[in-house]
Amino acid sequence: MRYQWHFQVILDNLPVLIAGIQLTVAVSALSMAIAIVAGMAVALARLSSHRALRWAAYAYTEFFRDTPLLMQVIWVFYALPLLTGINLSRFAAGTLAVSSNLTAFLAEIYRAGITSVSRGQEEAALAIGMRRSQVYRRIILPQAVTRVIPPLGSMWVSLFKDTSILSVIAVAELMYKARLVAVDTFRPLEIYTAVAVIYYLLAYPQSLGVNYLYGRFRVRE
Amino acid sequence: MTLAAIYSWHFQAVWNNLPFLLLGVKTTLLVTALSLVFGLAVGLVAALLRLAPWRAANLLAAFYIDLFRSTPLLAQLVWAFFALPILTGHSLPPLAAGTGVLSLYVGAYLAEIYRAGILSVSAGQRHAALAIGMTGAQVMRRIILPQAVVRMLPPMASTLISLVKDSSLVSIISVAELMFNAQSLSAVTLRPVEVLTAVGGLYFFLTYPFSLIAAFLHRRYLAV
Amino acid sequence: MAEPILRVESLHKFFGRLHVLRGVDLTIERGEVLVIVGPSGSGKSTFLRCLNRLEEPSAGQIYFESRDILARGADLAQVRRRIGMVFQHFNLFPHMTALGNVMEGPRTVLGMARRDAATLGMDLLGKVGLEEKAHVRPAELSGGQQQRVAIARALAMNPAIMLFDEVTSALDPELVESVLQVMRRLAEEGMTMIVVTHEIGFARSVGDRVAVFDQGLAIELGPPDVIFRNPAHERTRRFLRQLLREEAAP
Repeated sequence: MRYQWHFQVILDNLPVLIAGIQLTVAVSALSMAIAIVAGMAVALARLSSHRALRWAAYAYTEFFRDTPLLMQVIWVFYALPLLTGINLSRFAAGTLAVSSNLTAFLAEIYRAGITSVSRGQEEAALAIGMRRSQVYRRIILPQAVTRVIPPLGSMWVSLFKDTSILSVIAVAELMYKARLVAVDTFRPLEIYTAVAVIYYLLAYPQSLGVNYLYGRFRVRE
Repeated sequence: MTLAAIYSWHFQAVWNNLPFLLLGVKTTLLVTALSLVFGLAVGLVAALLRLAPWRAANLLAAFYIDLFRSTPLLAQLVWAFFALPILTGHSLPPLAAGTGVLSLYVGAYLAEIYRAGILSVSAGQRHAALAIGMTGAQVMRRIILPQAVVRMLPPMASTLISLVKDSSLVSIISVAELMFNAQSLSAVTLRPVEVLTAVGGLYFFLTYPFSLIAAFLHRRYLAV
Repeated sequence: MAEPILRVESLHKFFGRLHVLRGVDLTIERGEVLVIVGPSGSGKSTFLRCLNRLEEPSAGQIYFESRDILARGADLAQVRRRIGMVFQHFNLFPHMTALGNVMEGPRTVLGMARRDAATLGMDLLGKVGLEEKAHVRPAELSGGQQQRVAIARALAMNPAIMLFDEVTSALDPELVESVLQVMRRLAEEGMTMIVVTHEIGFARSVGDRVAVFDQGLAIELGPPDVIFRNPAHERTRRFLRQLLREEAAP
């Protein structure tokens, strides 16, 4: 190969890329924080005794889990303002789309965790006279928590990578910054390779961490 | 008062251009199907290498799997489309680049599903099969893979759904699938609300059946 | 004559189209030990679970302590405090110790102070012979020990009646006796008990009355000697023959 690699260009633009990383982390953390709470609400709705609530939650989770995140992001950015008259900043629109999407996935994880706590225990708790809310608070949720942690870790790693999609609506995270710099320096090979390496260096250790979580929080029935 | 009442919906823009959108659906399905087929093959090879008794094969396969699972699909697509041509001196048509990357991407995830499925068949059976004189390959073919396949079906169904959704990203490297056509149409008709909402419906129709199948498979083969 | 503690009239239960309980009538006196036997699928467990409404009856009446517990406004949680249930698969709370399991009801449901609940808990664990295991988690206990903790947990609520749903069926044979012993003691102390079981020996020695269930009905009801020695129905005879054959086999 006669191509001459110019790695200097990566070092020169590192601050720009680092700014991108910061925003990637910010969007991820904010979305996760929102979704952890919202996801619980949706999961409880999904398990509630009110049929309308159950169906609404089901429709929500199915829609956000079965359609592409890219489509949701573009919809929130281009269609929502026309529909509601509310104009959101790119960052807000992006975070809204990502957290709505993540909420649906977390709700399913929570639901699986809750229903995996054996029915027998629920019955035993009811049999000593606990009300539903007490059964949840004292017996089901404490056990669901350990079951939910590993998949949650897995979702975090996915989330981290998925924020790259926000580059499409020009949110200044890592992928977007990469494209700016690549176009600016005419060195897409070096820059995009560097960005791939950066993502790898950030995500791979996190996925090892998730493997650890799966080992640590294994459910032994 | 609903917010939707402020906006007057005009789905005419969608109905008039339905063929154009359906063309996008066709490409989406093509990309998905091709990537799935190649991915299944690549993934199987990677899984077997990962499980093989040679260290070099393990490391190579592990590197491939980790690389494609630890970097965003978008970064991979962008690299294949913008960076690779510089390295090789040849540009790749978008469809080939997109399908190629998707195949490798889904292959990495499928490799892990294969591996988990194979490992889930108890070691005792492998020993029993070897004890009656089967070769390693026969053990894999006659005893392990048939049982492993059943356990792989639920996560594979989920992977298929993800693949349909991920195929939307190839629109970014200009492959004229559904998302790409949706954005062109939005720009031309100036009715992004209707177009994008309709596209949401289309994607949902593509994936929801598989979501039901996946739930069914999960209950049937993995429920404890 | 005191009012019976439990009165069941024409109890029906459908699971979809399956008619599991076909009009059961039963009356239980205070301090009585009623043993329910019968082939699997006869509705014994379903009947028991209807009594504390873990299953919802499809039709019929249940009066517990003279109150209609199937009435619309009935406070289920309140009713269940007065009824203790022990399950076939123990259903102990795995994230709590044995003592924690026993204390859980008094603390969370009755609002008892922690210290008092702990004292009560240790008392009851002592009663079932498991004080040294108070701070052990269920996973580290044998089946028989878990079941005894489960009995203590139910007793902690000071129930008026105890329901036992095949509580020894999931135990290894050598552990069954330890549980039956606890149940025998309870009966001697005058606890009202309804016991669904296959343990004929227990039924004969501890039961005041035996009810034979078959296909959703109580087809025979009477003192153990009568039922076991001179059953009126052919079905009962057949069932007992089979049961005794299984018992005789080592």
